[in-house]
Amino acid sequence: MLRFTKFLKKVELKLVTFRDGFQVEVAKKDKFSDDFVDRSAVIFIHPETARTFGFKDEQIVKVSANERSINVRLRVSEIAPKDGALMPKSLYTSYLSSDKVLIEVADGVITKPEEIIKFNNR
Amino acid sequence: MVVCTGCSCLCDDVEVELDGERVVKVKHACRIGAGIFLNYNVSRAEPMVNGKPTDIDEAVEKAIEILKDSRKVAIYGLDNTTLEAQKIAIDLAEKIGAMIDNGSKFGRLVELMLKNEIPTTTLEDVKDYAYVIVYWGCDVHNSMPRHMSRYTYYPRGKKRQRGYEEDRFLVVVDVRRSHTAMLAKKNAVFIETNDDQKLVREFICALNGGVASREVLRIVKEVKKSEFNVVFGGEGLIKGLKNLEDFVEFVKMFGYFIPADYHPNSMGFFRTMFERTGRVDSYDFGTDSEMSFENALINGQIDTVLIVADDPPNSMPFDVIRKLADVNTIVLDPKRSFTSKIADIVIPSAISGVECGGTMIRSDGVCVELKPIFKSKFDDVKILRRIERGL
Amino acid sequence: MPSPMDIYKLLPKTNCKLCGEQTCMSFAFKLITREKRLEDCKPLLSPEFGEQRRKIEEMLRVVEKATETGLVVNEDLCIGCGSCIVVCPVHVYEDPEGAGSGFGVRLENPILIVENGVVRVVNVELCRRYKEKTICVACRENCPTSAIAFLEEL
Repeated sequence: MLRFTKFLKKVELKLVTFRDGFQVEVAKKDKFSDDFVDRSAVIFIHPETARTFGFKDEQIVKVSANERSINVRLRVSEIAPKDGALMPKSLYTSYLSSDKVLIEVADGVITKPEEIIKFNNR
Repeated sequence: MVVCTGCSCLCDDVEVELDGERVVKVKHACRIGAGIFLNYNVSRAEPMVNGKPTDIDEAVEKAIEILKDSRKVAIYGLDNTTLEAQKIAIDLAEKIGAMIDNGSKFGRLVELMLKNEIPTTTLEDVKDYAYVIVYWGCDVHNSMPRHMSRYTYYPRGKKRQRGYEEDRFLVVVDVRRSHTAMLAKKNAVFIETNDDQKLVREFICALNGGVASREVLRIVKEVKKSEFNVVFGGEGLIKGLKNLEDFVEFVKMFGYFIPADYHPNSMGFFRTMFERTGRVDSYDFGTDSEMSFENALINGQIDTVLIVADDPPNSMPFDVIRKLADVNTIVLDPKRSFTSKIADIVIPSAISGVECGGTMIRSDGVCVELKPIFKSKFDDVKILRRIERGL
Repeated sequence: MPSPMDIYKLLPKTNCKLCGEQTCMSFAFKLITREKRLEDCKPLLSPEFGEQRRKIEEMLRVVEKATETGLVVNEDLCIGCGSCIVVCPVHVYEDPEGAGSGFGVRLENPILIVENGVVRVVNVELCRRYKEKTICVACRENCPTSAIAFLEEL
């Protein structure tokens, strides 16, 4: 395998969203809980795609689109499309509102909902 | 026995056990439904005016005041509330010349169903008679978990006594190998595709005896074995199709269509709107014309929004949500939501099916009467009626 | 349901044989069948393996719940779809108008029931795998997340 894939800075993938039952359960319970962030701030990548670009399960990545970006947790899963990424429909995907995203490994913490709707704080 | 309002399956075989005001056990409901009952008292909304806590009377009075002084009102949401509340919301929109719209994207397809332009059936008939069951662009295992076990592939029915082992044929069409697709093993086909329009045309061709891929031909062979086949179309299908004509032609040759719309009562809204106005959604009473909530908001045509049992920031494009901050926002919701964090007025209401009764309509058009466990003082019907009377 | 490979990945992988097994892989197998305990792996007790040991302990907790019933349910993966209950041939035979027809199971002591949103094993004695020793895989076969699995199938 070519080594330089490890240094690939940004990967552009199509983004598919879906209604994740577990995320819906938490959203109906309490949108302001840590569980909500755990279930919503997630991006699923297919194992083959993860291998190609050097993504690791559970790592934190920065997902950007339209000059907006969020830090979410990457999970390797077979439910993701082979040629793209998958995210549960939530505030996070509403924020990105895009069919294509740029993914890169990040160092920071996972974005919280307050940071997305911060412009409306009362 | 209670009715679950977690999705449009509206399961009515759910049993709950109480310990005073707490629900301690829920039987038979899926994770989504059980969660609604078990956690009904978590993260409840409080009455608020301009971010400050108050009592519900003040919140309602303030809301009426704002609505009175508004140039153009939009009423939005309504997919998660009862038929009775939806009717009053439509009454209210008509009274003040407001526009009204819901969140579900299934309007076009449901309109065809209501106009009898696309054949449809009930879920009970699917269970009793359907052989080929197609899930197109929907991952029901996640959005409506009990759909397959209650109504389609797995249960036995009158003419399908041998269940999925010999009497059903499952087809899953999706852009990815979803959890639902993983179930397409025995007597089943999973088609992974990025071009739904092309696949629909391929099916039409094959049903006419023409050439198609091996999988499509295999499916068509099974279709021809039975007179009762059903296709469930989801958001993936709506997104993937460029036009609906081909799909309608396909369904007419194939069998029946039922939308895989997970909103518990979007069907109720579509039908009530259709009976009142001849349109299913996106309607402006003021100008008697089509008007979608997103467009109206972006174009600055609205100055006040009344959101009923919905949370737009959780599902709408960000540019639209941004506009919400510029207009007066009144929200009716039993739980704290992102909307309640940006709204001018928050009016707490009751959770349908848990604390207040009413009627909801299943994805196949069958009415289901809710059986609430508790009775809340304030629900969408009472609040909307009070607002309507105040205007 | 943890596989021996899942556990092996977290072991020292030195094949030091201190646990009495020839290889770490063999030890992983025996951990799951309960023939060996985690404490038998001396290197794993040192602080540098703290994270791995915790992860293995978590995986073994799932296995522990299975030894009493033979059927393992990983509640974290179960969405409560009820398919396992509806396809169970015993449920279909004993409760044709209930579980067999897609409703919530109406037996007094069913094999499985969905309670509080996840499937729970109630009465494994009725299961054909245990009574008649037949190889019935209906429940596991129709669970796309492997929330329900069999202990012996490793």
